[in-house]
Amino acid sequence: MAKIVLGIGSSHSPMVVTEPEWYPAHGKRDKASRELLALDAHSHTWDEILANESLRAPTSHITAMMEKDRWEEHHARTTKAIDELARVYADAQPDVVLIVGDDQDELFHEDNMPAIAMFYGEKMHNLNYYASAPRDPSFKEASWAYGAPRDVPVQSDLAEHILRHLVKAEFDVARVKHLREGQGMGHAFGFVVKRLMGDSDTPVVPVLLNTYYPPNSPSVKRCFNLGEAIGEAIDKWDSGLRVCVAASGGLSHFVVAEEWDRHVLTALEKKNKKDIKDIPDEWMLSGNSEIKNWITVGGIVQDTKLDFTLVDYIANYRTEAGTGGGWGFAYWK
Amino acid sequence: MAKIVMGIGTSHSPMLAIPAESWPAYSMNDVRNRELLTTKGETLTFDEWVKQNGDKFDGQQSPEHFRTQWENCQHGIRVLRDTLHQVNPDVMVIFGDDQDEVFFDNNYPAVAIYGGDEVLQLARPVAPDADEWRKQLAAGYGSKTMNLKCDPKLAQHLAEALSDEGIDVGWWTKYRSDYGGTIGPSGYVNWTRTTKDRPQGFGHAYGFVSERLMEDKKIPIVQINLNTCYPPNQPSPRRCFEIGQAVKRAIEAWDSNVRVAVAGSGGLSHFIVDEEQDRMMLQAFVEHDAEALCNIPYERMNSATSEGRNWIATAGAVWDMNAEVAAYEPVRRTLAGSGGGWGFVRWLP
Repeated sequence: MAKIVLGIGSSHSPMVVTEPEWYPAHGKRDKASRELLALDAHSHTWDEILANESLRAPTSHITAMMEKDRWEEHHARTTKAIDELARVYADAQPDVVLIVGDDQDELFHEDNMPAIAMFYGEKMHNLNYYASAPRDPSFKEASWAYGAPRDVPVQSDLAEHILRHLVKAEFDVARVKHLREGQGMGHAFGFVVKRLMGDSDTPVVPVLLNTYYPPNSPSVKRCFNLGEAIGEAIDKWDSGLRVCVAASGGLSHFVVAEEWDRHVLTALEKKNKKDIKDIPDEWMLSGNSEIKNWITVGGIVQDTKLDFTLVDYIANYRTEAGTGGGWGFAYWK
Repeated sequence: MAKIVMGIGTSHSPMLAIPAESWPAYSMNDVRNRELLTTKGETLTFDEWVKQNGDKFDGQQSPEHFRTQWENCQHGIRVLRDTLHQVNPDVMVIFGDDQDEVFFDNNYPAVAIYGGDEVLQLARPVAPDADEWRKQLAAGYGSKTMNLKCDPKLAQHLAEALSDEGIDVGWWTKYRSDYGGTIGPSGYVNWTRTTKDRPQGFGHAYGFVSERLMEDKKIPIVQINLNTCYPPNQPSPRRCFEIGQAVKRAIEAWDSNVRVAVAGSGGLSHFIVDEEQDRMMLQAFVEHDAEALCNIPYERMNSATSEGRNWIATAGAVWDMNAEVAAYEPVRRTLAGSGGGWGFVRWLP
């Protein structure tokens, strides 16, 4: 029977792989956004949030966190945390990595947006969207961390086994067997392959969640249940292979919500099923929604003996309105 | 609150669009059909079926028998059409399936809801010098190219409500202009089906309902596409019933006074007639026997027979109504026992 030997949760924002000099450029995107999920769990413009302290962290806190030295420190800690995850990954030497990630208008579009999809073809093509279509220079600067455009092997037998198990367990999973010319996997997957797996050829199993886009994003509860079912499937897989499961993305962004992030991390650390499932869906819009990838991985490791270790959590503010990201890095070992 | 006012289950075979006299010509397709499945899900060739059945179905292919069956099927369609026009719902939720039309192996949803404002009905291209029955066949799924109105608000409400209930619905709001792809090999589809890029409109399952039941009186629609046909991500019959029940709850909780019809398009058994299962399903609809429907084995719900899933989902949505079988004809168009069990059912309060 296959064995889950390691779980990983890692933020994957362009901000976590760029120097502080680029933070203002990332912040510029926040200023233009009309859909920033504020602390009242509603969407606002950047100006509205700046003007209303109840929608964000206190000004004094934001100001202190945006000192130049703090930015340098945050960047150093972020880099160290990612390196630490890569080291833990390398130590575990898994045979296959199941990646739970979201797609942001990369592979899937309005012509066919699945709630949950599994890729079960022989190889997935990594398409570095940040490098190939830079929308602004700060994306291009970050693009090194999302891997070169290339084929990454997929453990298709495990992927199909999980897909079949999920269908039996009444999950309505879309199937992706191959990509069309020009299509490729998005940033959530490229980041894990490049930055955590050391750009290796270890086979992956991509699970794609629509965390971002209404009206068909699976709920927090559903994601946890999905994780549990994936865990069962791996457990039942007739193979001696050692499996790593990785959640890509999160935590809160673009309005930093430190309390929410801490709440999520604590629930995951304690493996408290009820607390995890009760995480409010209202928190899970915009970038925050990628926490659903973590919740799914939380479900996968729920019945294992793996324990949660928080490598670091960095609330990294990049504008006066309290935008930026709550970047989290953790593993279950 | 919105209200479901009727249910429809309808076959949508090409045989229903062409005259009985053309059935023998149409049945020539069966000789090459690679989806002639046993009730255990195994594939036999046409010749193997003929050999196995011997003269069991001899006499069912006479022009008189075909004519009688054709008349009864057309009667069934008329009953459904007349009832639909009489009930005159504001919107129609249609459970249908996609066969190499919109969805392919590069992203094939198990369940998907269309949320666009309009949908294109495309008249199927047919050569000017084609046989008359081929022209009739093409027209059976949409004689005119036109845009049909949808109900994006209800579609969105359904997508939200179903997602809340833990149903993982796909969502699409746009058809691509030209698209194609491949299906298989997977499961009973043990070869690769290839469709070249071509203009995209809604599929045959929806076209039949539009052309034959709505006729000139178009009703705004919500398409719910179920992957009935293609392994490995077909929802189980039980799951389809649950999806139907969730649709019922969602419609009844919708803050609107619209009157909704729900329709399941396709089936029943084909391309090998499975009369036993067809009659079991019809009886289960009439007798409200949900377990009989939910327990249909996976391997008996493949190929086009699988479209029974659209009926099961519909039944789930109208479960408190009474089913009446307007017509059922097991049409064995060859000695192989190939053809289809064509059924027409209405549910009314």
